[in-house]
Amino acid sequence: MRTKVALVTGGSRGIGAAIARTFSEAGYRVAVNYRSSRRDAEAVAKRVGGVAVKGDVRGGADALVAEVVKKLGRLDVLVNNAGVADPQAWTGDLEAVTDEMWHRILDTDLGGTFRCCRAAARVMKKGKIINVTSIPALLGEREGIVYSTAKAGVLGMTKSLAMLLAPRIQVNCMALGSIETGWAEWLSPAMRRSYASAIPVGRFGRPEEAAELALFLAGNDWVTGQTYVLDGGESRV
Amino acid sequence: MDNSLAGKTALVTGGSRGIGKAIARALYGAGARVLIAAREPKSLIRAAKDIGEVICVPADVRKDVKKLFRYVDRLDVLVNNAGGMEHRRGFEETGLAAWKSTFELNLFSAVEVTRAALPHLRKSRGCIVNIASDVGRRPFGMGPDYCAAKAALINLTRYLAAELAPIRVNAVCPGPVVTGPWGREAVRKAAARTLAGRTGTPEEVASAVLFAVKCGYLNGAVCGVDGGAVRTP
Repeated sequence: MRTKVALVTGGSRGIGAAIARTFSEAGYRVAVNYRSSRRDAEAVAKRVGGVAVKGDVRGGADALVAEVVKKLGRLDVLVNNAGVADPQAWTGDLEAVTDEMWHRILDTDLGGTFRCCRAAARVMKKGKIINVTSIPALLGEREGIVYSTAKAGVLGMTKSLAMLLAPRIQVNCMALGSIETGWAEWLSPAMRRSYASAIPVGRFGRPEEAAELALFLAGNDWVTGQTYVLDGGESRV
Repeated sequence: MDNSLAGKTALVTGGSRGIGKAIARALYGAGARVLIAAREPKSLIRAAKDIGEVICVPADVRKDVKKLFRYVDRLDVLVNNAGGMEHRRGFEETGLAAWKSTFELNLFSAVEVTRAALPHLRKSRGCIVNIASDVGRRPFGMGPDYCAAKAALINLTRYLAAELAPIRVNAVCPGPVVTGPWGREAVRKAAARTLAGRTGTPEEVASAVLFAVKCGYLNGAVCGVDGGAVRTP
């Protein structure tokens, strides 16, 4: 029972799946959380020798964390990666941003992260919480009003939790730039080129690179309350 | 064993003691060929005995920049770690000579070493890690000149991240790490500044440097390793 356990929310694909793989290679036992993509999550879990755990961070965070502890015996690292991917919410038309959208996205991206943190803090003896946020939280995003608000909330919450849970649990967030995942497939080739040209390293990031950052944060006991920006040099904030 | 930096050459300025020595050890442990530069030959030799087969370069980064590259034909990783607080006075008591000296040691040395390293780093598409300080992010009673010099180094890091691409440039900002003869009261006060309730170790800072070197998408980042002392960007 000495092997450390990591829970990755939204672990069925993209960045979450890469984090699951990287943590598994580093010797963690990994719980791969999913809400609806059971097949994908089970495939990831199988590949990393972990378990797939169903759970919706909007209403089921407590049950999710309890299930992980039941299945794997403990919890050492929580990676809050689950978030809404809703192309409709990306709009420059303020009137198109409905109350329903506002509540749903804030409830998942911000509320879900909070509820998972609270549930994890209850069961962790010592541990790490890593929250995924992104550049719009720092710089704003004209077409992502709700999204940037939720992610900015995660920034503030991370610092407050780092204070509240010290020195038992280190809480940090990674502010990710353009990472090569599902959303990148929505982009036209011209848009892709235009995005990439604004990034000094000249390309989008790989999910594995985000996972490397998560693994670093999971392994350092003196890093807490921090926002690590991983964006190829795009924002320089 | 981590061998991810095999075939790479790294230079760590101020690499004979404290944080610099831990960085050199971490890079060496990951398989890099490591040069350490410092003023005192004796401390260099002692560090080499502790670490392993590192190349010692006795040099003052304020003056002997050319010396640094005399022994290598390539460079992949530059860690600008040399620096320090030469005095600690309030703003009114800090004269221009003190300011200049602090900037020489903490900013201009990094500027000159970086300029000299550029041809090598361009060829290798290498990376730079600047060791700044938490007081460069949020000033704290360490003297106005030291805080401002470290803030300038952080800003320079972000500037270079764009101009020097594809060379990656990042900063690591350590909080209080006890490396010299600190008094007990100073250690207690420094620890109280952190959320962790303790000062850090050189190894904890070195692990962030190693990460910054290895992660190919990290660029223009300012990585705080300070027990949560400073939480601003």
